[in-house]
Amino acid sequence: MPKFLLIYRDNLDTPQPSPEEIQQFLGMWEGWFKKFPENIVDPGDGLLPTGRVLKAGGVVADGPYVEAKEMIGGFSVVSAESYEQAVEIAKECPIAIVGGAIEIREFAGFV
Amino acid sequence: MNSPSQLVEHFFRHEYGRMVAVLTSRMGAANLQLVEDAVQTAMSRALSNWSRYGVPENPSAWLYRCATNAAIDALRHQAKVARQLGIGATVAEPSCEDLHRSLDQQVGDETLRLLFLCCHPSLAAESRVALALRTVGGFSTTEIASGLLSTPVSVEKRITRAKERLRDQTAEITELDGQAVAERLESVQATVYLMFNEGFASTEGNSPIRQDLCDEAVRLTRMLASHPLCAQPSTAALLALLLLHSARLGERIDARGAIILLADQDRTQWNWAKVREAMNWMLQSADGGQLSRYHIEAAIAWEHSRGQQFSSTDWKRILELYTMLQNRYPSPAVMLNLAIAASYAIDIQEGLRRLLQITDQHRKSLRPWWDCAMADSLLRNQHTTAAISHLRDALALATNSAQRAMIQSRLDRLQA
Repeated sequence: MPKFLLIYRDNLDTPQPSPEEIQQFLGMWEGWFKKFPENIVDPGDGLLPTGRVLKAGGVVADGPYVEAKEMIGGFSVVSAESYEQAVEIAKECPIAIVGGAIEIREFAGFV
Repeated sequence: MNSPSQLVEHFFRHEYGRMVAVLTSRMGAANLQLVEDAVQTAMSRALSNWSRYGVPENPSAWLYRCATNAAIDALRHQAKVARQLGIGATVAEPSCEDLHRSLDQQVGDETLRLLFLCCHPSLAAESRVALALRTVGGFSTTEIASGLLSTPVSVEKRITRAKERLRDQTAEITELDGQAVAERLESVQATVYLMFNEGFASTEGNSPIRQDLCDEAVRLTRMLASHPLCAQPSTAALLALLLLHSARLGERIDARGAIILLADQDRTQWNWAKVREAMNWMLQSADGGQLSRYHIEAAIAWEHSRGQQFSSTDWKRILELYTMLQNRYPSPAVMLNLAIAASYAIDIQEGLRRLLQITDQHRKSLRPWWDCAMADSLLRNQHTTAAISHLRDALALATNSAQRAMIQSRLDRLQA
């Protein structure tokens, strides 16, 4: 079955979650992982808000690469029959539910 | 590994307060902001990690270790920047061992000490409440704003300014000793009481945060009541008072978000376990000769809770208690309640006479409640037209939708 990378793009305008919200999110993630145990092949990881960007010519800039008002905050890998099914799975991911964007990219399968 | 749903309710909120308390006691009040950032980092990491790999055996210890590391990193970074700028070593680097003491042995007085720190005399009463809700209670700015009927921006400002104050001054409380308790217990009690009242009164939109604010105030008062130095009769009285009020919190607002007056509440729906617990604390509060305002207010709340129905209320006793309260701790609200008690304990004329004695200035500060009380007394005397006129005035003075809904429904009934 094809694999898809879900790239979580956090909205930078969203304030940091409160302790109470963190507990709610945790429950939502648990629900998502439980709902798609066959499809979520790698829960992935979160990413720290720090970073470096290496630009052409060896120029190193501090901070992650930020596009508009979004920053990549984490990722997971799912397997799905098609983009349609991958989107259906992503729609129920807590990131999508709380208003973040998810970029869905199919693995090329080169390796 | 456990699943996230097995975490106790409000786990993160309470751990937030606990960790901020412990780390602040190690790193000093001047580093309050740094500590809070570190705790936030730990919680974000927990979210990423636990959601994917389950909750560790000892989630508190996991969070604490993570927050401690983040705080040490931040302090080291500060020290490095200070050295680079040539400011000198103003930032002391804590030793890891110092900070990595096991969590189990040391969470004792820290939470209360942080609460006492938040109640520094130089801070305004509202700032104390906001700061305590944030640092001790783990509430977010948005949650505090909706609980205190304020905006997130002004709450954030208030908290930031309060923290700056605490950094400026030698606000530190190194130990919760007799002196600290003697100096600040009253302020701490007043802060917790205000926190409760904000939750009790902020009926806007029936938001669940009301209940949370009240619960937090009760939780903190319980901690005070179990601390050897803070467990004074006035603390027991305060706890009894808060429990009595919270016993009927759920019945105070109807399904449409309107206030239900005491006379109309369904008493079978009150939380009678809380009433019983309150009674025990009242017995403890009678220990010693102290008579605080909480003693009197708890006694009044107790009289209101005691009767099977509103009609069996002992108004003579309530009148006595309000008179006592007015003599020692006078306020417009007490005057109003004194008049209402007199209207039941003596007669309606006496009640009206006392209501009319309240000055214009005081009437204003009571918002809709003076007109409501007038309407009530007039109605009991069959003066419907005058009552309607006061209810209309009250409607114009109402400060939130729950008050408006209650007044409107009374008007509707009279005009039908």
